[in-house]
Amino acid sequence: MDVSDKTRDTWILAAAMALIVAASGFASAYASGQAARQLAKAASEALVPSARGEADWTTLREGSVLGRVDKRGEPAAYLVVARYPDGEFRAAASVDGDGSILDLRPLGDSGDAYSKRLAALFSGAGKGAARADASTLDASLKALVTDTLETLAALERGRTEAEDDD
Amino acid sequence: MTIDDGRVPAGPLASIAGLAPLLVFSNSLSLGVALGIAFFLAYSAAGAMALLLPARLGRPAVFAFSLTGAAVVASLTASALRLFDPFLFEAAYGRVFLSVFTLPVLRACVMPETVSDRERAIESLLWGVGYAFLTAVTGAVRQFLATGAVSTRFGAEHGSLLPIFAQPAGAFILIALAAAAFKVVIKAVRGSES
Amino acid sequence: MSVIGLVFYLTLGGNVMVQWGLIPSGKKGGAFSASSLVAFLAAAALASLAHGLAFRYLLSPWGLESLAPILFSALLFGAFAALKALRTALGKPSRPLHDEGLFPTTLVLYAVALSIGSRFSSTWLLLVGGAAAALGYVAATGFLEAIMERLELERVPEPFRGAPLRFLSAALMALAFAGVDAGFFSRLSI
Repeated sequence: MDVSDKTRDTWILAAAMALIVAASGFASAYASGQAARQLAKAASEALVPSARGEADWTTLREGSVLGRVDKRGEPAAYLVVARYPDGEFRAAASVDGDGSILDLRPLGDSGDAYSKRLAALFSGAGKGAARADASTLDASLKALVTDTLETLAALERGRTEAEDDD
Repeated sequence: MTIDDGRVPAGPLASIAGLAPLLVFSNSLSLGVALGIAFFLAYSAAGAMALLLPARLGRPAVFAFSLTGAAVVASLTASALRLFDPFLFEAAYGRVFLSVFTLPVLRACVMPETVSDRERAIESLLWGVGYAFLTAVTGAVRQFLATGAVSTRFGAEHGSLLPIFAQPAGAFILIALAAAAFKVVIKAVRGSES
Repeated sequence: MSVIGLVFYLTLGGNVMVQWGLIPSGKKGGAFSASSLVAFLAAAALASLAHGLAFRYLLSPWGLESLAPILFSALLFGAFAALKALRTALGKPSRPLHDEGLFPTTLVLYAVALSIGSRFSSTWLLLVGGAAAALGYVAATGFLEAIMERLELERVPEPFRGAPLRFLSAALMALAFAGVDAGFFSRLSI
């Protein structure tokens, strides 16, 4: 076996691999763009069923907050995906400048007890919302709700401050 | 992993134990199918590259190329999953990526040295179909045990039968019971042969 | 959450051994010398930091999240080449990358990197979280090996001896840890 053959083969394979990795990068970016469109649409339509027009999506992945939907002339909306052992709770939440929830709409059918309870707790945390009734599940879900509300407030404050700086 | 104290051939069962990171997360049919496909593609890519790349490259280089190939395939699978269902991607991308580094896939990346090793490697590629099927079936069984129903749509799992089976503990219990049952069957088969 | 709370959480409720199904083989599981423990914790901290930062600030902004396993492979090869060069310079032999004995460690390191990288964004928390998760894994494998040693003295039905018993023990540990998770912390997001 010639050493130069081995070196040549290695370089050819490395070059081929680099091309395939680049193609994977394009596939990933395309999939990301399509997913952003789907997620933005799901969040906008949940909050305003008759929503029309383009909405910008920003992936955040901060705690239970998956991303933000920005639409001209409307309050920012966040997509919340809270995971618990048996499933996940999805909701779109519109927030005001300090990050308080103005409106929260669960996405899909919130069938199980955890989802229903999370929807009640998040809705109860909104501005002007009536105090939600209590449940035995609340103790284990309270930390999740508090964390998510704090994350939403921090993200929205950060966004509005960045806008003011511009 | 040795499945018992050395009395049962460890091959396929050892790989099933190596699949535990995927089986633990596979708690619904949709997750099971996604992870099964991701594992099968990464495993096949790794095994095929380790078999087909020229031996003159040397074992370290073949291992590196096979592992990169498996990672590229996992990357493409994740992109396809994201197009299909962005929520499923967000829930499962970590495990899809981890499938590349599960023990069966890492073992498949090692270039077989002897002729008998190569024959075993071809055979083990066929086992990949079985492992993928097992991952999907585990998801469906756990979903049924946990909720009392099986749904093909991710995030639509409702109801409550034995919720423990949706948690990691449920996966470990199922793996333990399956491994014990396998040992009983092997013992019975050997008893009838002798 | 304080660093002590973080370590406590990652050792129990968020333990990677049970949450990610990383059950050790039993051949060497749980046995770590002091130097290998320090090296493992450092590797986990660095893997979490490098993967977490690259995923969040390099891949995510460009929609390239799917390239994460390729990135980790590249990091793995780079770290391995650096380690090999260092050991060669010191005149010490090094194991090849395709040595099967290294596979479980690679798997655990990536699981820790994925688990911590998806939870934290700050450099400090990535480092501490990575080391804490690795410490949690070492502690959990130690507990599991101790349980297995104790069970060797018991009259366990023949079909359950070996791996089935190991998985059943892991299941009981997972249940106990899930109780800690639900009872004290629920979910960790910082």
